[in-house]
Amino acid sequence: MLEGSLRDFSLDDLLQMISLGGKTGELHLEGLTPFGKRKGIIYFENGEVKDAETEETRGEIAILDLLNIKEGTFRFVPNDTLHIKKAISKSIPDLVLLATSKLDEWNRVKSRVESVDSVFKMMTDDIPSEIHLSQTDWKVLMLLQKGMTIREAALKLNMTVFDVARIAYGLAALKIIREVGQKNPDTNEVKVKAPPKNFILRLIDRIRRL
Amino acid sequence: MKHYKIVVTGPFAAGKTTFIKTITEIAPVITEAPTTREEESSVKNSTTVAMDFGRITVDDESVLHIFGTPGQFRFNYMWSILSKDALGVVLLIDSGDKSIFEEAKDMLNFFRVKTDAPIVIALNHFNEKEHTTKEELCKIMMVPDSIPIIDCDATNKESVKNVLLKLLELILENEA
Repeated sequence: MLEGSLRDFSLDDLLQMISLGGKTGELHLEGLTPFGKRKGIIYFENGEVKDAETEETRGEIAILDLLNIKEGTFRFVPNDTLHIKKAISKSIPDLVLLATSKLDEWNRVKSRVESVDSVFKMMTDDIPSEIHLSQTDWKVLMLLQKGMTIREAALKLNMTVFDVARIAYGLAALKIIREVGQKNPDTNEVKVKAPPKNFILRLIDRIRRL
Repeated sequence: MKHYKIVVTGPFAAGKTTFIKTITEIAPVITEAPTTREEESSVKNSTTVAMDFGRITVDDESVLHIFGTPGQFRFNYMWSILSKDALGVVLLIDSGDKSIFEEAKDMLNFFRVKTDAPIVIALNHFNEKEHTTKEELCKIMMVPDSIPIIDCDATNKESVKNVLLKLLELILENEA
């Protein structure tokens, strides 16, 4: 068994070692991704990925989530994985590439959707005269305008937080919704993003006196 | 001390640096370099390459920073950087230069996509030029009703104050 921290041994190094060594077993991962905490297992057979699972998902969605863990711990258990059905056919380099592009897209999404705990307000001022939304876009919009966070909407719709965040990004770029704050998942308290009204009033007064 | 930010943007030679110089309480920090492109050097000798910076101290606890962006599209990475967490955006346009309206429209769209912060358009009137009216500009640039257009003289303090006050009113309305 091999275990440690991803600070000392990066996930890339770990995957390369398992792949080149033709190892068979389970790689247990736990840590932080940009989409929240993740815990899961990647199953290998002769150095190739067979399947993956997290607490919420399985297969390719699960492994793409797990490959974005940057801080956390790992444990590789050499084990027979014959009971695991092969559900992932992509190679490790292809999966790493996909996970990286997902991370790049998330960085773009973050310009409008700061966190998976973001809450939104529906806007009516600037909506273009004609917009086309898919059924999924509508479902996401309906939940977000009720005050649900990205995370809550994803759970309700059985979607990944990334996919919901991507739709929210599109809706925000179209000025249909606007991020107004972030909800603390433990207390449900919403921290409003707006600048303090007091400051704006003081600034108005200051500029008038200039 | 808390810092807040307003961004002044607009096409090349719209008067952004002048706008900031007119209102800032400190000597403005200006990052200008000689213009090298023929089409630009015929208009002015230097251009902002990173940002202009001005400041208005509100009280002991808070201060407003005013950032001016470069005007050229090739510096648009600075537009993204500077607009992050801005309270609002002033899009300054030279009312006498119809050739830059298309570019100004692209800039407006860029900032509308990049930020949720309220935007006002300030139509800067330079002397001795045939001015475009607010109504004409609104039509040409297809400005939505939510974005006010205000006449402005970037060299006049009262006029610059008026633009900033309009933007702040809009910020207050937006948060209501």
